[in-house]
Amino acid sequence: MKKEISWLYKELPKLVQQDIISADTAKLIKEYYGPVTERDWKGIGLTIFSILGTILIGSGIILLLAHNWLQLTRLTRTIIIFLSLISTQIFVGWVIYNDKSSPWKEGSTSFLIFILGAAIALISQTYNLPGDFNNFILVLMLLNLPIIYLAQVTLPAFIYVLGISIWGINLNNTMEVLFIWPLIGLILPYYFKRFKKDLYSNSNLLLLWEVILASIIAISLSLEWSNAGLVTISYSSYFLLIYLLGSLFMNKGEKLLERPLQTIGMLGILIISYIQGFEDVDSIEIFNAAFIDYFLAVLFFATCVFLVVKYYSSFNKLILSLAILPLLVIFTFLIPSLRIFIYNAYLFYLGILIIVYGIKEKKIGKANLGMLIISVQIISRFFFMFEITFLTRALIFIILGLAILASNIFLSKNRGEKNEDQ
Amino acid sequence: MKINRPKLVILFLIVVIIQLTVPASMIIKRELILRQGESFKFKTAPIDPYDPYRGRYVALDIREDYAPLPESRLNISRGDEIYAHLKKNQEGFAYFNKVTLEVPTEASYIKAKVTYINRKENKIYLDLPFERYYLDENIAPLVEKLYRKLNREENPNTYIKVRVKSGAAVIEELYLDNQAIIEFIKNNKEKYQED
Repeated sequence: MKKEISWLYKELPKLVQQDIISADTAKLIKEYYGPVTERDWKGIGLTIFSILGTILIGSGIILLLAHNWLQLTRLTRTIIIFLSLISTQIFVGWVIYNDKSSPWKEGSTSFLIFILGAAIALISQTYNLPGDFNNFILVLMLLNLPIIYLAQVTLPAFIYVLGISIWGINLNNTMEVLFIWPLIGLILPYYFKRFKKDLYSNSNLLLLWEVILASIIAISLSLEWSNAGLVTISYSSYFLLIYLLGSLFMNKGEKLLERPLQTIGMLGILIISYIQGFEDVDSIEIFNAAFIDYFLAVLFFATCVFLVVKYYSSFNKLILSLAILPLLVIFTFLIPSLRIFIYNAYLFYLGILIIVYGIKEKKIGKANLGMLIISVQIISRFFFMFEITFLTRALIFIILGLAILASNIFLSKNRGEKNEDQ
Repeated sequence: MKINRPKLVILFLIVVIIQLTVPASMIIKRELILRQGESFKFKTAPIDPYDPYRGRYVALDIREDYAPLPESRLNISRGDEIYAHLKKNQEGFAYFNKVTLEVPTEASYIKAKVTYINRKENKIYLDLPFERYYLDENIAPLVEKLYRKLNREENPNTYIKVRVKSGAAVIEELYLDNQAIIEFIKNNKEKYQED
């Protein structure tokens, strides 16, 4: 919409000049649509360059220290550490206190992370400490966390979630890895505050995408993975959960990137259904798993049930159809022989439903997603199923191709009419 | 979240102090060990990998990184923390003469994790905090070459000097062919350039 309005505003003076509308009408139109907030491109550019500069200088300093100068005594090293750390802190303090613009804040607070990291690395070098990269990352992230709250910055927040994820991935100890949840949780109050203000700003979208992916990593690290059934329940419920949350609370995004919850949720649901349709397992043990596996499976499943029951009336058929996946997962544990059939039928059904919604909402992207699902289904199921004759397979492919062409022609025709109307 | 300024200043100062405390305490702990700790020598064989974040170092392979398995067969497994008691042999090199689960009162000791237990040889292998010795980027490859050359000709005496205090240990110096590393480089530089 924004684009159209700013285009309209540019046209208004011309229209007034040509006497098509009066100056008063032009004013009324402007009042009706309200002011267009143009993106501050200069500000964005400055922020990007300040971040780039920080990363380059920070990496340079780390490499400079990595050289490990023979001439430096332990005392000199200590002085270097504290001088650089304190001067950076003073600089950051000055930036925060004077509420400087975003490029200053992002650049200086990110630089502080580098300097702190370099300080700890230099100490490890000086005293020949055994390499413990993971502890190093964790300490560094936690030391910088409060700065994110005080300076209200994006890049250090992004680095925090990234660092915590790396920490989790590097851990081998299964019990310790559960701390990834409170660690990610520590940044969430800040995120909620930001998201409340403007969910769709570029920086907030970036943080949201990252934290959703981090949560998926956290689940995979927390699960014991000894029990395939519980893992499937956990993941299918979790993907459904974020999809439902997206359709309830974040449904105004127009582009794919503006709908992280729905995009990741939908992708997860489709991938799980697809994989499940391949697995030819007789029965799956549902017992003998770690407590956390049961806990996550029950938690995610119950939350989905709660959301579906509470918001039943505001969900359309497509959302409700996606919502039955966790039930299918449970059902196919009870009757594993129906497994392949159920998931294939389910994916076909979803594909068709998505095409229908795509046509209904006049969204060619959605319609094509439906096509893609069905095409992948057909190619992977029928192309390699040699018990089906070539003739049958040939027919299926031709029909599929025709369906795609027909619906595309239908959609583009529709679009053409729409344009003429305008 | 708009925090008023006096509050912001106080919060920021607290964060700054915490940030400074971490490196400060790391340094103070090691300095105390280096100044007050008892000195031990461990025989070692250095090799040279590369750590992109911390620069060049010599990886240390401690020869006596095990203690005898006690007859009582302590209830320990891999990853458990134990106390390894230190002794010196006739040549003055350190070795571990026993392990306990309790903090020793009389002997010097190092707190370490068990890496694995060899029941056949009755040995408990330990994860000692001496993994690496950092060197100047220009010097590390030189040391490696010299050491290799030396190693081919004779059996050089290579060891580290560490300081131990209340279970924690810090490396003080690396010795190649009975010389501190800096001296070793000075004495052998011409030899290296001749090649």
